[in-house]
Amino acid sequence: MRYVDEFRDRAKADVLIKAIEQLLARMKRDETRPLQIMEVCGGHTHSIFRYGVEGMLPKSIELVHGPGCPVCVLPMGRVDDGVAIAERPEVIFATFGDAMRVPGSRKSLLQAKADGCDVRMVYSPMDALALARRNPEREVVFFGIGFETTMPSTALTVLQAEREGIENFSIFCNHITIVPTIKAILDSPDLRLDGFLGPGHVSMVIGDAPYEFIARYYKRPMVIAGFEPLDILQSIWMLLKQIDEGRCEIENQYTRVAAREGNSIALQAVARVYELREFFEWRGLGSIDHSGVKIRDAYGRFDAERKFAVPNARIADPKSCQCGEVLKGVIKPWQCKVFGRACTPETPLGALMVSSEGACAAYYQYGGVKRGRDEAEASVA
Amino acid sequence: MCLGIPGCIVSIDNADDLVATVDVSGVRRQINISCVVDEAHPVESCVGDWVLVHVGFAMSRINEVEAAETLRLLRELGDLQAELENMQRPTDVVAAEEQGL
Amino acid sequence: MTGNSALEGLYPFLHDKEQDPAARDAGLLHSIEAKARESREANARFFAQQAGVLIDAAKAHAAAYHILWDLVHTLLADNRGSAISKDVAA
Repeated sequence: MRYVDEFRDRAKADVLIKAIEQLLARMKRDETRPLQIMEVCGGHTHSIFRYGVEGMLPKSIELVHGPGCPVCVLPMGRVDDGVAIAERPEVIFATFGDAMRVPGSRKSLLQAKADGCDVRMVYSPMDALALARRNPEREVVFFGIGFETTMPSTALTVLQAEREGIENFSIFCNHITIVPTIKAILDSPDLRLDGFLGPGHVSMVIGDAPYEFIARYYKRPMVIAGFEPLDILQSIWMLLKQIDEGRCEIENQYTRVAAREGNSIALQAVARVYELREFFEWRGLGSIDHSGVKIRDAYGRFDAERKFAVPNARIADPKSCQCGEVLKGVIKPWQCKVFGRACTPETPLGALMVSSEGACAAYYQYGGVKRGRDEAEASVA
Repeated sequence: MCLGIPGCIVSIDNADDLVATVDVSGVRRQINISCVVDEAHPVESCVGDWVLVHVGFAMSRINEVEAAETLRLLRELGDLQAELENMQRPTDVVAAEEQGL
Repeated sequence: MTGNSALEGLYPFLHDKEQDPAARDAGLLHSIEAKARESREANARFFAQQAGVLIDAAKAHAAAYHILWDLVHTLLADNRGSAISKDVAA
């Protein structure tokens, strides 16, 4: 496929790996501490595991899998609220497939569907709007999740509903923003990161400018990266080059898709429909200021939270679950007490085991279990 | 969730609502193209454009020149790598000869 | 509405006005002075308002001490010190 296959070329990957090894050798780093690079975006985590990028890299580079999986950081209380809406007899609850298996404190949406709720999996929020058009006697609620990448699509769907005068459609808005969360990670005292792989698809919406503070105030380099294996390897090479040359910049490897100035049409749609929440609760990370959005008063009739009273309860994560520490890169997934035992992709306890973009599910699915345990044994021996 | 896939716009289905059909590796589906239509790119000019498709929306027009440039950089890096290896090879031969191998 | 103002709405923390270091230092100094003044004033106000209560408390304390002291003297005088010495020796 065009724009995909040429970025998966194995021979070019070998060249990049060699270039990375040479750069590392020249840097004469302290070998006792690996270079820690965080990929912020869950899409990158997914690609890294799918193509075994971690295994190709020298041991002195450690990839820290960041919080950029919107399904994984959704707190249980919000899933419960979604299930409560889905349980109303008049409601058709439409959601992306990713969110179906996220555990709530009572049940997941998948279980709610099994129990007779009308939960439908859709590919696009526009598909949910089509459901509302076809079922005027029902209330169609779309489970709005996702970062800056996905926000414009639900905003544009609300604007389309307004244009068509569709009144039986609303969004249960759980959109969150990644930029304040990167700042929260940088402010966290138990983290030592040497650089970031920037989220390519968030960047195609917001552009480069919102990341400038990372280089200017926190003195960390970032390379906005595409999602194919060559994109990721090239971005790591670009990061190493910055570190080697003592530079701290926001560079863009993914220029074919993410323009420097972002997408102003998408941003304007977001600004029309959404406004910031004072704070939003993240699973495993706690409450982060200004990290979520809600629907503006002007579009209140498309807001499921106003249309239906939701319980809005705060539910603590299961005690045995160490998703928070994994999210912050303090421990590796396989170091969690329940990983692969009580918590598996079939019966996930923690959110990171739910989505294929979650670090735990990725480790589990792509043999990271064995690699992790082997490394643990080697370090003990 | 944050993944997207490149597709080529093959037809405009509703110019008012900015609905178009894309072809993604032989699979066709309708998407919304509001985010890639502006004064420089009127709706009727979009057929044939490659876009990045995310949850049923064209979120970005793929920049052909930039894609080629990224690939060129990768190729150059490969050439440089080959060159460096060539430079190192004779030294190895000399070193081996010095050691009487 | 432009893309830029949309970004300002989404990330207000990025658009806080940057301060020059001199202004920041002046602000800091002003804040420290104000805090010190406030602390001095609170001290003065407390002692002015509670002076009577404090003096009464001190007098009561002194009186209690005197009673205790007298009691100890009486005990020592009665036993000529022997009882206490013996207890200590034991």
